[in-house]
Amino acid sequence: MKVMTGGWFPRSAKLRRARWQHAEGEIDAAALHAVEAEETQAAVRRQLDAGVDLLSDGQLDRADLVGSYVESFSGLEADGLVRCFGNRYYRPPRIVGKPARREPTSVRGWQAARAVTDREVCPQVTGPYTLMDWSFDEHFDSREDCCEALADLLAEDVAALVAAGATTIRIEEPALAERPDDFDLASRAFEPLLDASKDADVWLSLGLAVRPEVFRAACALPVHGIAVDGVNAGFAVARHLEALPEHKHVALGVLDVFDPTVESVETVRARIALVADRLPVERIWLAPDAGLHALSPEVAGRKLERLRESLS
Amino acid sequence: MIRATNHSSYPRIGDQPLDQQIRSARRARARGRVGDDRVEEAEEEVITLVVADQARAFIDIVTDGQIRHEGPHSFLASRLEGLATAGYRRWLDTSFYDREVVVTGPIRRRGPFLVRDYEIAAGVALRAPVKTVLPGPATFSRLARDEHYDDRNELATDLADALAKEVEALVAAGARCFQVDEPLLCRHPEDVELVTECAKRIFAPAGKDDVTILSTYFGELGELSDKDLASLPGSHLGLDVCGRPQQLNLIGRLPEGKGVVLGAFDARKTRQEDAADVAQLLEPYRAELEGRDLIVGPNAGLELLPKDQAFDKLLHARYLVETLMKDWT
Repeated sequence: MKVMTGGWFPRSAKLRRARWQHAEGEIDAAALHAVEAEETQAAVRRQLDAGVDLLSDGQLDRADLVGSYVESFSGLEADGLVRCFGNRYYRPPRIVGKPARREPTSVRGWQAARAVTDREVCPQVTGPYTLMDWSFDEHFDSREDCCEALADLLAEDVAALVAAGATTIRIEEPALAERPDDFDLASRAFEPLLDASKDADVWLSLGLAVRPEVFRAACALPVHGIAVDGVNAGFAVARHLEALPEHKHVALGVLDVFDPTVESVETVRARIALVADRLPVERIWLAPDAGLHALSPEVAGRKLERLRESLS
Repeated sequence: MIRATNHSSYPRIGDQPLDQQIRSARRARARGRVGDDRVEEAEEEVITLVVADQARAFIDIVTDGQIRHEGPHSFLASRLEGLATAGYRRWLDTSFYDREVVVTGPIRRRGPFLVRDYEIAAGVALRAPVKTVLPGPATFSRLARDEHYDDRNELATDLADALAKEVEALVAAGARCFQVDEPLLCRHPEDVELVTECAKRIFAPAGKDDVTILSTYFGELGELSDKDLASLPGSHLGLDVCGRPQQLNLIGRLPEGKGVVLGAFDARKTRQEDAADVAQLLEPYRAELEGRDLIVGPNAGLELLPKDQAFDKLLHARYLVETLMKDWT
């Protein structure tokens, strides 16, 4: 089995401060980007040290999964913080006009990550359904219209990544995890992104609390693999892995991303055992449940190291 | 009488430094730099700030903002016996995630858990009544993972009894306004008997002149029979009318004298409803509404919105009250 990562990586105090200084006008965009690149490269090195096979850029060049699109899309405006869980907050954008793309969202962070390794680094693009669902839409008449418009723009992000040389791309659709009734809407919006990915391998990340029926429906999409949580949902999807067609892969969360306690080797191995005989091992990737952002960078690194130790 | 109310939660964070203190204190506690006392101090200060915000919007019935709640249901896990938490799940049709509650043993109340917050809020609110909002046992029993009862009715009624003891303590502390949230009654009308039984138990310690609201949202109650509607306990029934004007037809089916709380301001959208538009929407039901105690406000907890937007929703609710009071008898 191989190890991969994805989602949001922890923000250091230095990066948070740089973002705040940029918002206050104390530093310019170039200075912020330099800190983001430095932190991205540190995150890549931690993954390399921990023996991760498919690396992530950690999305450290963006403030959060959806709020950062106010910088890259016109028609979206920033608003205040909203709590998403526990003591975590994000800035849902308000969609106030027809969105248009100003600049690529994901390329800069991915290129910074690639600068420190020849290994494959997987860039990440927010899925259109999630961007629509976690924003406040004040412009469109329907969710379908909003999702479709965002999909066209996000497909341009995917195309820009492919043009820059990305061969694996991860689409983040955590908002879909518990919404089987919206699966058709989300999968239609997914199509332009798949078209733009050309020959790149596309991973669909469904985030936390993935409902088995959503996973089973996602198995029919023309993607390389699907990433789901394990620990958080009590491995609810594990019993449905046989729905995955033969040529597709799954990434299963075996690390708790909310508990700062580093799991023992025995605990991680027990979790791996829950899924090990469900598919040929070469199609199972092991991963944290979701992004590691709720942990400190040091704890996140130690958890990844423990995962690798559990496989030896 | 026509009044405005906050529904339940209110944003605990904003962009000003004073609005960030809970996040900062909790983050510092997670790193071992401060203790629980600093977090509690920050939470209590924020309760006073959110009540002051509601007063600034001239809201007639305020809440404590549910500032200490980790999540709509998960907060009970650290306050009642027999409950624990598991992984995160999405909270109904919102982008908020709450930890799943696991029922591991008989649900029992350890001691007061909402009284302190009521007292802080009441101290700030002065003349405005403070409404205490409680999770509905029927909805809770559908969302929690039961590893003990193997009987949803028993689980829900035990929770109702624990919450009733809290209401008793709140009444002793001076509280006169209570709300039980049962959003899943809209999706599960077959739960009406359980909802009725549990809400009756919870409201029992309240005085006969107290305001007791059974709140429903994110759905409709159209499938309930007249008899079922009549059986729902409480002085007021809360209806979500955001994008659901047909819900207003239910008003004429309610028993005489039953108060109505209309959730007319969408807590999941930043687009601000205009008070004049809402007043126009209510106009055809004027005769029915004028005979009842009417309360208006957001359809759900405002914590789903940025703070400035949440405040504006309350202001628009207040404008609606003023519009109706000017035009109606």
